[in-house]
Amino acid sequence: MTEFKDFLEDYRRTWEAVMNAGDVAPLSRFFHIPYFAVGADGAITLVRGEDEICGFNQTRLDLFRKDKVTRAFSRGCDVLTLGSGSAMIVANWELQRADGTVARVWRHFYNMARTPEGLKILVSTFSPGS
Amino acid sequence: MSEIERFFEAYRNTGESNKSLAPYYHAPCLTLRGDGSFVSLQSVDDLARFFQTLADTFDSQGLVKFPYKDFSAESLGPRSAFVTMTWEALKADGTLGREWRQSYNLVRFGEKWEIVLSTIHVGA
Repeated sequence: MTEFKDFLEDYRRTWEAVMNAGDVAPLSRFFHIPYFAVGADGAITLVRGEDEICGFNQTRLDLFRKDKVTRAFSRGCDVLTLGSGSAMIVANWELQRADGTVARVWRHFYNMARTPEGLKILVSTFSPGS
Repeated sequence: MSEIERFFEAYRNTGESNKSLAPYYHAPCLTLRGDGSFVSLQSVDDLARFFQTLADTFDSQGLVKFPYKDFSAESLGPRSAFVTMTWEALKADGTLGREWRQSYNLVRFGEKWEIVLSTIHVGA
């Protein structure tokens, strides 16, 4: 279970670095290909390649930068293990600006599994208003 | 009975009728199998082949009934759900041939729910 929480913390730290550096490439290693993202409006994004992962994360980064976000916090994280090699993590995200004001809050579900290349996110599901 | 429970009742009935389970899955979708390997099913043809192989395996082992227990379903938002259950595969005489725990991520596409990820709990 610690392994999955460590993965999420690594992901959080990487996102924070990306928000400040502007290069989304370091995020690619967290995702399986193909990868499914279920958005706030229920729209499904299927990501089939590394370029698409970067494009997907660039869109999110642009939104965060528009909000002047500089820090990411995970406010509580639940891990539901699905056997020994897979889990679903529930993360409550809070994004803050440099002055400490809250820009965005939401809940995200991540289905992840252990692969030969390490843990990877297979499906992420955004839960609005959580 | 909830919409998701009805989905899995239909899924079970389809499997027991020796019909393909492919229509219950989105193409593409991902499956994490009992041996820990991943299968990425990219097309309707991939799905049809995969489930035919699965049906042939069950048939060769004399498995004909597939009740499930310990069913739980959680909404992950307006168009997404997470379901976990324990499947039992029974022979014609009612003896248990196999039992495993499996989770499913489902997404609603239009009016239809489809499985985008199935996860067999390895080592559970």
